[in-house]
Amino acid sequence: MSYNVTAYLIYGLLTYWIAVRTGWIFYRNGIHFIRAEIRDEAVATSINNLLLGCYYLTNLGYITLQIWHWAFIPNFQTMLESLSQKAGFIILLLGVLHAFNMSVIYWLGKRNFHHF
Amino acid sequence: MDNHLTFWAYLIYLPIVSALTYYVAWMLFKNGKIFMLDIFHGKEDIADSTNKLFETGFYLINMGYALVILRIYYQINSGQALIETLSGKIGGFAIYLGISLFFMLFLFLRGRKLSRMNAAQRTEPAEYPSSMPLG
Repeated sequence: MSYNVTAYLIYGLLTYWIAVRTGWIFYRNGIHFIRAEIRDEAVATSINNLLLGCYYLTNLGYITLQIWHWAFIPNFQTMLESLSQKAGFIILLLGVLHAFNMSVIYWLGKRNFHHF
Repeated sequence: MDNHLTFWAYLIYLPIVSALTYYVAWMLFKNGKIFMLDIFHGKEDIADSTNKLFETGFYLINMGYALVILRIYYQINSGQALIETLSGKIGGFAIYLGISLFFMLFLFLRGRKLSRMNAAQRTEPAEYPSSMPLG
């Protein structure tokens, strides 16, 4: 197995695991914020489910897309470098998107009910 | 072709940086619970959720940044160079972590202040008002 294929395997397992776990945390904890906006419990639950689906599709799709243009890896050290660069970028991106979502929640909360 | 000192630098850098991030996040969010309860007027479920969400975001951003800056762009061929490079990387990351810790503390304190101002303006007890729902 070449270094590239090993890197794809490690990258895929690591970032998929992180993205799925993070999505699950958001799914479980985000329902309170949707409930605060939308009184109807059934509507809130289905919105939460749909959001989880969107999150998984876009993020896992983008993670998979990253494998497309991966540079050639000649040795173990290069593998570690490019793995950490690619995986780190994905993790940082998830964090930045999450910060953006939190600020949207904050903004909505400020606008709709003076809760903060 | 003796790149192996660079490789050792990576092997030393990664555990130190993860431990540092883990410790800072643990410290911040153990204490952040009090702030959240204050901000959300003692509502346990939403306070817990917000704390957890902030913690997740903190981990993602800091670990992601630590991994992105891992790469060393020049050859390390002595023990001295190894120590110098590592001190630059880890010291820089620690300063960055300190600044982001300050930023989180600032957010918590600001949220607390806003929440108190709102509570002072309001006469009825804290609950979700029946203003126009979105859906």
